Amino acid sequence: MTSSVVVTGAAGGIGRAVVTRLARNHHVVATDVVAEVSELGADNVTPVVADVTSGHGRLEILAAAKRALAGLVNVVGITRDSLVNKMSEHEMRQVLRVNAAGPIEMSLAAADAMGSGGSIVQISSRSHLGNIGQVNYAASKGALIGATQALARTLAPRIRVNAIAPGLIQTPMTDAMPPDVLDKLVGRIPRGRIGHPSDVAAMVAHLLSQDADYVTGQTIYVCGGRSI
Amino acid sequence: MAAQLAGPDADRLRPALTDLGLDVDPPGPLIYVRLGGTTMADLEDTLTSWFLDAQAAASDNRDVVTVISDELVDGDDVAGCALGHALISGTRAWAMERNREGNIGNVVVACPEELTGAAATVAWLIESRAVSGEVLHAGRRRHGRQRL
Repeated sequence: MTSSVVVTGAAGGIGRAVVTRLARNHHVVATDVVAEVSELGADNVTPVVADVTSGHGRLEILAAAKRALAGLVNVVGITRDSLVNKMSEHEMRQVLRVNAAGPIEMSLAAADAMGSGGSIVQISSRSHLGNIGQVNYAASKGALIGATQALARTLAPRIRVNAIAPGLIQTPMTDAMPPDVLDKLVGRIPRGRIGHPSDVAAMVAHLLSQDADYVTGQTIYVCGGRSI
Repeated sequence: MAAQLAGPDADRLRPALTDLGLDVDPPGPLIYVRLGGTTMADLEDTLTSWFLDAQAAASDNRDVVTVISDELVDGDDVAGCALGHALISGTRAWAMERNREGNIGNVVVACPEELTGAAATVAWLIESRAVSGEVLHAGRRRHGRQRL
């Protein structure tokens, strides 16, 4: 274990799966704004309660890396869904700040800290293609994809930057859906099942690894084929 | 056909649209023009400005065309590319939602030095109302770079 990786938004379903997966091979700085992130603490996992949308928070997160920083995974994200006519300016700003500005600023800060190179993975969403009631969320996840491409160009060849666009992933929200509604959604997925946080974590691990050394600036859809 | 020009670079597209005979006084479809980049500090304000205009258009049951520069799609500036792709995704989400109410929304990617192609594309979009949720590239490719 020679390197550290930062995972933002670590307390959520995908975040936890990413931390668990990466902790096999890395020291992981698991960070979130909620105290529950402390539950992830282990020998090779350092939990940090901090906010990526603040400069102070980002410094605090990077300072927790015990080894050379080799990776950043931005899982952090919120939803504030509403039809466009009813969406408040606050709901627009909050989602943009947490889902886009924070992770992009975190990427820039982490890139400075990755002396000998590294890999950054942004967790975007298939919703960047558009979704009803999610103008704010779609815009924020589209911003991540645009930033991924520009970062990949400007940080090359030292640092690779890629994005993952998950489709329908099992969360407490999907667990609470009426079975017929969930079945209808799953019926549109060529793979024939809902995604699991571990599906996303596996792609994160791949993009951080040497196996993906020739991959940068890309958006990988982990959606069971729903985007085709 | 009347339209409402908005956004920080509206006046740059106005002459080309007027030449095509488009009445650019409101009310009418929203043509939001953003050709220049932004900074990370201003990203939130910039996108919120677009949102408020697009929300007003939705309230009045009007269509939306978002016009952005090709630099905002495949340039090297991080904040600028975040802005461009956010406007594409935001417009597509707006269109997906508003299609149910009969509104259409599209994006035109323009070359800022040569806006006649973009103007013609905008005029066609709002007059034909033939497509929605699309990204149309109008104008020369300045960099010859393959689009990521």
